[in-house]
Amino acid sequence: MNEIIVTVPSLLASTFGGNKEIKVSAKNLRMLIDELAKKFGNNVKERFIDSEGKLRPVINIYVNGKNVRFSGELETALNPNDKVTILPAVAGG
Amino acid sequence: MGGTRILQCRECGKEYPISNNYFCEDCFGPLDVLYNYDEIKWNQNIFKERPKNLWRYLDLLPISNPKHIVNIEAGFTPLIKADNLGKEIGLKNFYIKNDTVNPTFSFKDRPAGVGISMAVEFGLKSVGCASTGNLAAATAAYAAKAGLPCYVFIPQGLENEKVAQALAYGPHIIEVEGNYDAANRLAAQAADTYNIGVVNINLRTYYVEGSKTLGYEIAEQLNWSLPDHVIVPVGSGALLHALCKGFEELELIGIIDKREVKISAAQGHGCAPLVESFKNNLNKIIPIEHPKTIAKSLAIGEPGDGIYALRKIREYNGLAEDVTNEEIVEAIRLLAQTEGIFSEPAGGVSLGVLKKLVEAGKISPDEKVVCLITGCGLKATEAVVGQLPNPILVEPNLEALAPIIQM
Repeated sequence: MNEIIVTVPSLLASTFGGNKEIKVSAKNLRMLIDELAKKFGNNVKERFIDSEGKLRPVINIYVNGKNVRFSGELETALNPNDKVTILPAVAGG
Repeated sequence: MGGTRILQCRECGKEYPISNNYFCEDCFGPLDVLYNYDEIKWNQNIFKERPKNLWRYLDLLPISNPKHIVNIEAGFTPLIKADNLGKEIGLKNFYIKNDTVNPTFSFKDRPAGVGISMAVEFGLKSVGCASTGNLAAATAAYAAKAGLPCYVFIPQGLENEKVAQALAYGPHIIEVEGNYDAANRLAAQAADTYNIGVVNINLRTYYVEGSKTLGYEIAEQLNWSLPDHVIVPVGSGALLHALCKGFEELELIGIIDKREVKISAAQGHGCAPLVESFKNNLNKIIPIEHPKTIAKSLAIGEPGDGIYALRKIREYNGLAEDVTNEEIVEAIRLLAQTEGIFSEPAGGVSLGVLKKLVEAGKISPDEKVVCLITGCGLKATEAVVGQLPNPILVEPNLEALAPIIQM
């Protein structure tokens, strides 16, 4: 309850204890990644954040379907029951 | 065709066996197919007996068993010496790569063909795509040929012709509220949840291999040489990147001499994130939340391969430029009225940008230039209807013609 629901691609489930869906508490996206790193190991953080502390361009994160690149990136505020979706940034067209 | 193939992460270089994983587990980077280039012995003669479609290059495509190929006779489209148009815009050695004549009337028949064939090779039970329109028809056509259920995710507001064409092949078309990036995200989630082979998402590693055949063909049609300059319309950036990979592979296997080709990107004003980054000398792409251009097939605000395409433009000493809707329509008319080729707006973008670069003196009249025309005008008539004169209504007698026909 009052947690944020994070969904990751099946391919990454093993990184998150075999789960595609993880529940964590955090006030913004940066804190959420810190929480994930605490639970599942530090290389989680390196996968998401570059050396300048920014979200790596190869990853897209959506909060309730909205791309965080249009809402403050890692500073995007989170509320209980928000749905966070993590996907690799893939080309289409 | 038993060539050795592996996957390699474009970011960190980690290698993987061929599979339908589509990103690096360590760093999220995209995966590329690499071949054992020493095994590939291409020369001019071996192509005489090969099929006149994209499968003539099968030894540098990822399908390991030819039985899995789904073939609708795409590719090997004409490379036209466009003297009329060249004269009009000030180029002496000008070619059009006419991919409007593919079976579903766009270049997307190339990547969709390889993507769907790999879905068959992996034994996937359903396929799909996220599309700005052209890929919808291409994927649905291949799915029909392969007898696989197909789920096509499109944004709201696509051209009626593109939707109608795609619907005819019988897929499930899912119109997603929002723009292309919303459709793309939902397709990615569906691919993961339902194990659908979405050609430009979880099969994208293979999909882009189809696009690179454009590069092989240009080289082959120029007698295994490269032009001085290629103008590429850019949406996601995947085509531009794939074209470069194709040229690089030709150099690796030794069938062409050293690459000295420039590759330039063309985008529509209102959705030109790559052009912005190039002109402002940035090393990242700033996404566009609300793309606005009549070139809907290029209206991708957050181009997945944008950063890679940007690096390639710089590596290949190319340029990046955008054109307005008016310039796009003018270029469509110019192409039709000089060379008899009716292009959709994306082709108007590449030709419009070329014209602009020549006028600005950034491309010299003597350069051997190839302009990619990637989709047929019948797919998006709304872009030009209203910009063209109306038919002349006459009574059915000869006298009525006298003021019209010029003798």
